[in-house]
Amino acid sequence: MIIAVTLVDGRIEAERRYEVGFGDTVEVRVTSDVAEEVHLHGYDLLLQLEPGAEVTLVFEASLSGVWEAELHPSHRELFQLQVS
Amino acid sequence: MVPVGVLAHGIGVRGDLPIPVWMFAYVSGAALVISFLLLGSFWPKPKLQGRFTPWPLPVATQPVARGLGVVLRLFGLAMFAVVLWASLAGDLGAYATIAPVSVYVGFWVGLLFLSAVFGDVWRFLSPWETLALVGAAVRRRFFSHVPAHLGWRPDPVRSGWLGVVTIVGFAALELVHPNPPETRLLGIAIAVYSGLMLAGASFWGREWLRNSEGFGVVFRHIGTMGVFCGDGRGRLAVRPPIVGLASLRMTLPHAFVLLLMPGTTSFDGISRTEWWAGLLGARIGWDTVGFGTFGLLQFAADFVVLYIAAMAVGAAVTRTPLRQMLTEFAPSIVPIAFAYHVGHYFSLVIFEGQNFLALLSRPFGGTADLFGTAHFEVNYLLVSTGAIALVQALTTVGGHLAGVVLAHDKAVSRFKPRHALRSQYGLLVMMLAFTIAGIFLLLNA
Repeated sequence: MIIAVTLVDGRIEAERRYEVGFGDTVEVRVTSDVAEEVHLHGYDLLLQLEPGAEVTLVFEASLSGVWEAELHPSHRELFQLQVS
Repeated sequence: MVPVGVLAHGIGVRGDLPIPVWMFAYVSGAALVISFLLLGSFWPKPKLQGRFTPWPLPVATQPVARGLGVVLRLFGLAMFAVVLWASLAGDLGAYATIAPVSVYVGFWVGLLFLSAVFGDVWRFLSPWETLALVGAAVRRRFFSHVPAHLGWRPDPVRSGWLGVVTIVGFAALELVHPNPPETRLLGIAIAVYSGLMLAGASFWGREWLRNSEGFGVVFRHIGTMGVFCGDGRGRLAVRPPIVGLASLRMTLPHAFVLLLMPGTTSFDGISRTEWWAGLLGARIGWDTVGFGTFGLLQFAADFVVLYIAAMAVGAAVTRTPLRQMLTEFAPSIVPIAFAYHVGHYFSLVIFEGQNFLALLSRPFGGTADLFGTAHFEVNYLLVSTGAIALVQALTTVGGHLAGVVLAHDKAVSRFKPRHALRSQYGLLVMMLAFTIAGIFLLLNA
């Protein structure tokens, strides 16, 4: 499962919620023009964004529930990950 | 510091999965069938009212019960002191000190669940009750010449409205404030509220606390479902679960306090939906407060209005004063309020409650590790998502069943058979609306 999101002029282009199966391998690809950090709650994974570049985060969806991927330091929600 | 996102109000990281659609259908269907079966298998005589007298525990166990009461009082006082200090002077952040988890998870959810099972434990845990008790003893011993209270006493029924203010205020702090675990604000809120409660209790005694302290009102009414109670002569007694509600007498303000429970909880649910996110648009932080306040008050008011409407129908067909209807049938709200709470916060207490273990070792933050558990991490696999959904669905059906049975039993004890059935139409429609709305919110989690 690939989740591709972009940040342009501070605007988030992503679905509100992505649904993946329990145990799936998830690949998050973020293209951004700002240097923020993505924090995936629960899994406690961090992804450092680099302006102009695509960065990826690969992990196994091993915790069921709905989890928030949040931008730091702006505290905005990037997307929600629903693992079921 | 672990920040708290929009998924979680008050506190919490994990959001529940939406319940499956088939489960929504089953629960709604069951609620409908229960309602109509009850109308059809109309029993003409009350089966619950006055049938269950609490059974006092053997004399030999009474000293144990009293000892347990003292232990609970000391524990309540100690937790109160720790939480107050942690929130006023401890580290900042949702999980930095024991305070936010204790208040939003331990107190408001865990204690409520314990009350429903065991009874009114808050009566012993409440620091304000215990301090008022100590204060009264000190006054009797040393200041018996000082007049016990002011010339003026508040009306015991009307002072219950203070509970309405408390519950709405607490809900606003938990659900509307953009950063609810803001530690200092929580500390100030606890300090101010404690000051008010202790001032009131020192003027007008513990009876005033029982009527006016909103949390105490909630816990006492929910605790009526629990198996332990007093026998009216100072002894600990037992009774079957839930039936305590059949002999519960409620005042109008207390009925409203209990109605606010599903009202505020459903706002919690609605504010996690896609629809609400669409309303908020790009607003974040303090810009959401206007919407939040409006939404919270709107949902709280919806439940109150629907209840008044249902009771107005009953009042009209039975020619009973509306106010009397509103108080007599209020105990039916209690199981519904509890079901909403379980539906929304069961997983919170299971998962976030685990943080309590770690926080006990570092109650004020820093690098303390009192019991060697400071680095305990939450196990999100402790209870499966299927089990959570099942608990949510079963409690919703159970709450609905308890509510309609209680109302029915009350109706046949109060009215002539001809009126009893007709008095129930409005109430059944209201209960169905509450139940289906509740499970609908879980479908759209």
